[in-house]
Amino acid sequence: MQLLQAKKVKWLLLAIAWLFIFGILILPLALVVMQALALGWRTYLTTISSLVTLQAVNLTVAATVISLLFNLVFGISAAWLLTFYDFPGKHLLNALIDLPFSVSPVIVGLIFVLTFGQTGWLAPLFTTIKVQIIFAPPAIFLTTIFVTFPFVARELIPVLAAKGREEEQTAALLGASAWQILRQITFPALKAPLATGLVLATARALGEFGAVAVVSGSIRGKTLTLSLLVQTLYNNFKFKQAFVVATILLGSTLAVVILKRRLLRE
Amino acid sequence: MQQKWQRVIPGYYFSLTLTLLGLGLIVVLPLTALLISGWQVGAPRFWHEATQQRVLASYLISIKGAAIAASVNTIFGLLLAWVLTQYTFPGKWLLDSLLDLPFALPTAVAGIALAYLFSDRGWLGRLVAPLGWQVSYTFNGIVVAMIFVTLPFVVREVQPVLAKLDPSVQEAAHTLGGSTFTILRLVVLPEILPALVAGFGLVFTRCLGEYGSIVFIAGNQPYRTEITPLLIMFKLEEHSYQGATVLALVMLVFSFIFNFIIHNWQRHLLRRKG
Amino acid sequence: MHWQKYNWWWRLGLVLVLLSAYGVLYQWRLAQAGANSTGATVTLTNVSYDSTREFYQAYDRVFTKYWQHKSGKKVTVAVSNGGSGKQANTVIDGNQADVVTLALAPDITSIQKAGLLNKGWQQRYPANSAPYTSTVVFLVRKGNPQQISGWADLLKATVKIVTASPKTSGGARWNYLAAWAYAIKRYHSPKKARQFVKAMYQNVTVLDSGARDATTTFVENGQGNVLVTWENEAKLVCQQHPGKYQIITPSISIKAEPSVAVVDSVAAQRGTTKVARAYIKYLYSLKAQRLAAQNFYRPTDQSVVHAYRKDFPKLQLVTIDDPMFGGWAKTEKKHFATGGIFDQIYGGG
Repeated sequence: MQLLQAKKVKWLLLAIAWLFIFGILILPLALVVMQALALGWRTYLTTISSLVTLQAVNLTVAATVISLLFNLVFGISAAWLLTFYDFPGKHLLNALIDLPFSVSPVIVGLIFVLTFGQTGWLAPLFTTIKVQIIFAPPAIFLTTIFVTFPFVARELIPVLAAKGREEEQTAALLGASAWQILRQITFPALKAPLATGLVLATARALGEFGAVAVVSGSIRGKTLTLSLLVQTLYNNFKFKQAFVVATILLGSTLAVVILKRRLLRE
Repeated sequence: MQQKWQRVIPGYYFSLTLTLLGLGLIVVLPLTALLISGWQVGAPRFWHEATQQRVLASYLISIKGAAIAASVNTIFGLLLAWVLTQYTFPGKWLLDSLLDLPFALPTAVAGIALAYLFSDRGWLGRLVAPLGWQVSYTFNGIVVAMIFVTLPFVVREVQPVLAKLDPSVQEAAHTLGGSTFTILRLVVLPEILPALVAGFGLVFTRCLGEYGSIVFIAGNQPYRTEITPLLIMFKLEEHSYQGATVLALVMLVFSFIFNFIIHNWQRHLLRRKG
Repeated sequence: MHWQKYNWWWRLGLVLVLLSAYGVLYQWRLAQAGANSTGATVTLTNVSYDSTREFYQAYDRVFTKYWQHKSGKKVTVAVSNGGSGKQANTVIDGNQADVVTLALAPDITSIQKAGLLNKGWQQRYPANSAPYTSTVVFLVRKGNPQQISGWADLLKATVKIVTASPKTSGGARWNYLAAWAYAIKRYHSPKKARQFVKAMYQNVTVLDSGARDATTTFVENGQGNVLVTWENEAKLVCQQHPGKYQIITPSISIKAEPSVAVVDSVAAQRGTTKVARAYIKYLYSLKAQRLAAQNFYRPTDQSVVHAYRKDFPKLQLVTIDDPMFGGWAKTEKKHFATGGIFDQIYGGG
């Protein structure tokens, strides 16, 4: 092992690592910023504060908030269920929660079109009650929920499992209600993983592209998320503007990563 | 017998209902729709759609790209994990934090950035063009995009294992006269192999399904740079829901089988390790 | 403890200030766009294809003014741009478009076949319901290094063509048909025409999925040395990159007719029939025709055609109804259907 601890080898490996990261990670990110500012600050500011961009921000934030709320409720309930009780089919349930991770975004879009689209099998229902799902915000919310589905539950389950159920059982035997147990015993232990899970889900929700692209219809001001706006601009010769909008997403990504670091340290 | 399912803690039915409802509405219902429409296609038509030349070409491109990207990321992931756990150096936290970025970065942003970077006018594209390498709008572009989006996977799998590696074992082996490579092969590798396999599997599956970053850089030419998810997108755009459904099912089944193999392999390795 | 409390209030305040600043900015932009003013506001959704983005941005402003003047009502138009065929399919799948303005008639016909608009839509408005037209030209890099002047030059061994695939892009069918029209006019034999088109597509180095993707490949990524595309697309590139490209107009090409229609059932359901019809009809007005010409589409109004004659070189234009094609239905089947001529000449890659 002396060889790998040798100064020369260490620096060689370090150099390779940094070079790799520089080429494939730092350069592209630097490029986004450079391209966004290539037309000057004025263009940058007008593009970033244009109505289309703001409407895309609104929709993206709405989709993110909705999927986070869903994740919060579902994540806690799934973690609670899977760690505190034994029941038949538990393994299946566990596997199902992970399922959305291994489904390609395009397929996610497809399955929602097959379910809610005009030719989909729930179409008659939604036509009668006159609710538009596909090519409207609801579909964007649904797909965002799908792709962020496992994040919170995945963070919570191992932490709860490691904690064990003794405390909760004692509390239950002493007559505490489920709500009391959740609030006073379980939740405090879940704070950190919950925050991490929500942060990860935020990252995914903000940037989801493939699934949303299938169900959105890309109507400006109505169903255009930030990622889709980047694509639309890019496809319309507005390269620099596409990079401008990309900086919003890049900024939120950086915020998410920093937040995650801080949470992990705490 | 009545003690088989312990449910001392209240809230079982409530959390069960909530979980099943969420899972049912968001995951199971749409996936069932996929299964049903796949079933409705019928076997002969299914086979026909799944084995068209253009479709076969796209499987090959997807699998080849994913395999290359997964290999590259396994090697570099191991290197990065090694560097991050075994050495101290200035800027270590930065390197570690940077690795989180590809995971969190929206794929569309990654796509346009990489496409531009490696195009003939981009910084790296200009650099490699004299070597006769073309990245953007070729198969290479697909691999680069795949490498980018799955960069952290192997590192994050291997990192904790390497961090826990007991240096005294290596030292003991060294004093017993083992060469560096023998020690690496016989002591270190078995420890990290399960994590490497898991990481490889994660990267491979994600690469197969990746769409957002690749469409911008791939050129999307049938038979040459058309990945399966993109072909599904085309089928959707051509209004061929049957075709899209068939491809989606083939992809899902393939990735399940692959995951199953990886999972079992990893379990086997872990068991052997003890 | 005290400090922490203070910190939290401070953070909350900051968030609130930022949020309200964002709200003010948003409301201001909305007011600027005129969408937030009082009075009844109708929204009209126009599902269009890629290259009309600039035109409809300009047209929507003009139409909004016109409609307010005429009916006293506010209208806001939301536009969606994308590949023509894909856009048509989203409408069939329930994308609530009041009007569609697509690249070619069959895309609208497929919406009609889905029962969303009435038969005979193409006869409802003048000029085959194509208020503006275009044609297929060549875009080359400055100085025309390959010395391309017409279709025949595309067969030179050194020429690398970038274009979109007629299989995936509706707009690109016009490109293919333009080549076919030239070959028929030149050789007077379908067999020779097939050979010509085959040889031409063998020179295609990048066959992109969409017209816009092909442009990106040629312009931004510097692939190939000639882009076969629509005239308006080529002109748009020249406008975006002045002095870097030039347009070569061949002697014979096709008259590309992007069609427009009101999606009757959606408009009826949303109660927008009147404004949707006005939206399409006004495309034929002098003002709109001028806008089309300024956005590089060939106008159909003769007086506007005359006024802009310098911008659009004269050439022999073959239409889809020419006996060599015999209309879209026949052409689709013969050339683009699975196993059709295009598949035969371009086959397995």
